[in-house]
Amino acid sequence: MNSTPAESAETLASFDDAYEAQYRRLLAVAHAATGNWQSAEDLTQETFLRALRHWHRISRYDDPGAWLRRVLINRVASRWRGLGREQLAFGRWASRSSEEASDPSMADAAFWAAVRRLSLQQRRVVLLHYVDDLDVEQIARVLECSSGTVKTHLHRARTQLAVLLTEGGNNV
Amino acid sequence: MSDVILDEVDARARAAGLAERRSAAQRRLPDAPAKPGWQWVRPALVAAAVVLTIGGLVVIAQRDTSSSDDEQTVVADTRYVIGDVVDGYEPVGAVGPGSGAQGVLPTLLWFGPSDVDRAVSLAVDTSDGHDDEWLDSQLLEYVDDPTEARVGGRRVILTDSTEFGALPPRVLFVEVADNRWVSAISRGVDDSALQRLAAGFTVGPDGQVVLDDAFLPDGLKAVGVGPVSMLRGFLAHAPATSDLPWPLHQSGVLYMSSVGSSGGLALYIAPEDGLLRAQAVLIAGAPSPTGRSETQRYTAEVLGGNELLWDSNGVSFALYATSDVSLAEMEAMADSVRPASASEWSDLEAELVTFREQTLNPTTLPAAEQVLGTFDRSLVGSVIGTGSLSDGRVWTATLGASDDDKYLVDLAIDGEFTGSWGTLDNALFGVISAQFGDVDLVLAAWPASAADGTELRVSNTEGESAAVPLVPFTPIPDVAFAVHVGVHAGTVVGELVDDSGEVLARS
Repeated sequence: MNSTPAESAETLASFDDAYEAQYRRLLAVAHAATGNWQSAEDLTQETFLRALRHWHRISRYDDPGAWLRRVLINRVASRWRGLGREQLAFGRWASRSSEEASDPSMADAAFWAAVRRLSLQQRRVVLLHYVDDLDVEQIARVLECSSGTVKTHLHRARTQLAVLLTEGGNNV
Repeated sequence: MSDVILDEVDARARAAGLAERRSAAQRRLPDAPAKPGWQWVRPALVAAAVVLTIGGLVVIAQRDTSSSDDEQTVVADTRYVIGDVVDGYEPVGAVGPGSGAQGVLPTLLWFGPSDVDRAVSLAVDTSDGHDDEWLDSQLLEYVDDPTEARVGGRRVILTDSTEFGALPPRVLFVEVADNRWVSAISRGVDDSALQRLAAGFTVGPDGQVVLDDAFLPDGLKAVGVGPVSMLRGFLAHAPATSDLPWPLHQSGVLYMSSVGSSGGLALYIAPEDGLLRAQAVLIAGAPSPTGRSETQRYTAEVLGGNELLWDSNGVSFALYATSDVSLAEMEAMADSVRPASASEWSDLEAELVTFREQTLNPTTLPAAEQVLGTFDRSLVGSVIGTGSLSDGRVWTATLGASDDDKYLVDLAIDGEFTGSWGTLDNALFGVISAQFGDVDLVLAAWPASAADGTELRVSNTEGESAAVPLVPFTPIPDVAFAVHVGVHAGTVVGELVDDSGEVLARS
């Protein structure tokens, strides 16, 4: 689709604003999800690159930020699914040889390791709620589901995290 | 689960989330992407699988793919093993060929190079019936830079896949009928050839999508039928593996480190010359030829390690090894690959079943709902076990309940609630250990109908051990519990064992 120079300038300006305002927030989500800055930067930048390519369309959405988060979360989930298949196939030891080893300096790495053991949907809501600091309604818009569903996933995630965090002999 | 514990989780999560935001805020903000040619900081690593949606069937004209499953079940010449396994590894089992668990990923029709030196690969999604909405989601989330053309009056879209990171293959979408799309994914095939391929799809009178192989790009030949995965679904044959998404039509032998390292090996054998290499080309790009052996082999870097690929006598081989194994060692193992004897293969298949049972969650347990029945709040508070600690404190484990009406296990010390563990479901039918303050709890929960489990053995790294019998829980007769609570030094491990001492589950 061709656009006029004026349209391009306006579109890019608004994209730049979105990039500057949202990049680090999404990077935090991706890092919490992967435990790895390089993977997080890849995922975040892939998201914005995709956004740029479709910005003429996305910028007209009511909430472009929700679109950005949805794409990022889907990209993260794709990464999880890929790794998950490898880890399932190779049982207990592939996880230690995969490229997604957590950053050892990550704050509360044990907590995020537990998050990565939650179901996909629970992981999504935990990341959006606790890292992206979105409320239930905002998460519902990102995930295109009801706020009741978000609440359910959040509750189950907290319950499961309590279990997982005590599993290794740690206190919650 | 008590509100106190959930509040603690919430507080810890908020703190962890805040720490992540602060860490990210200190990272450099890269230059914003700008059209065109912007590159991200580091090319994304290879992802694992083709993301295509399952649906109906595509058939190659004049080729009956419905017979492919039958063909797979009679193949008998794909039972190979590594003759000289690298030091420190031993076989843990084998699968295949042809037990054919059905997966949820689409079956793909695979085409590889007719000239072995060319790195070309094409896989046609055997789904049909994708609608415009599906296409929109694909274009927005899984592909880059779509270009649209009309070929023979139909819409044809070519794009780069984003599922393979830095080495994107091309994805072809073809609108074969109104609101109905089929797709293919390729590497090394030029766009004009893919556009010609698009003209080869038609909808047959039975509603199936047909690809006339006269439209196949030059240099490609059919090499097989099957889904793609980097590790190729090694364990997909075992029962109750619905979460392992691909059927497996090739054979495989799994080896793992016998010295406690994290390494692994797998030898895959497919009854089609070139199939495994075609998959590797698509996933990892052009495999590099190796010069060590008289047999032409290729190497490809894949997640966590490398693959060595070669064909011999109409069979294709892929040897996967984690990165602790050198390519020279892989070549030496490839040199030693030999046919397995019938008894040897049979033993390996049996060993894999044991390996799975010992390393993955038990898959033969009855469903939680079947064991636990309808949630009954009146059972909350029922005592599961009680005893005294060495310092005289009395512990009591009781049945608890979560807010969403699931059974938990609550622990009280001297009558005071200490913590809870949940949820009783398939995931917890096994052994758990938890620490509440200075007290360790080790608990086995097991369906009585699953039989076999007799006692919980608890040991710690100081060499202390104890055994607790598994006892039926009267309020829910098909559940048996064994509970051990104590104050321990070192790490505590629990094992649920049967009469013969075989470990059924461990924490």
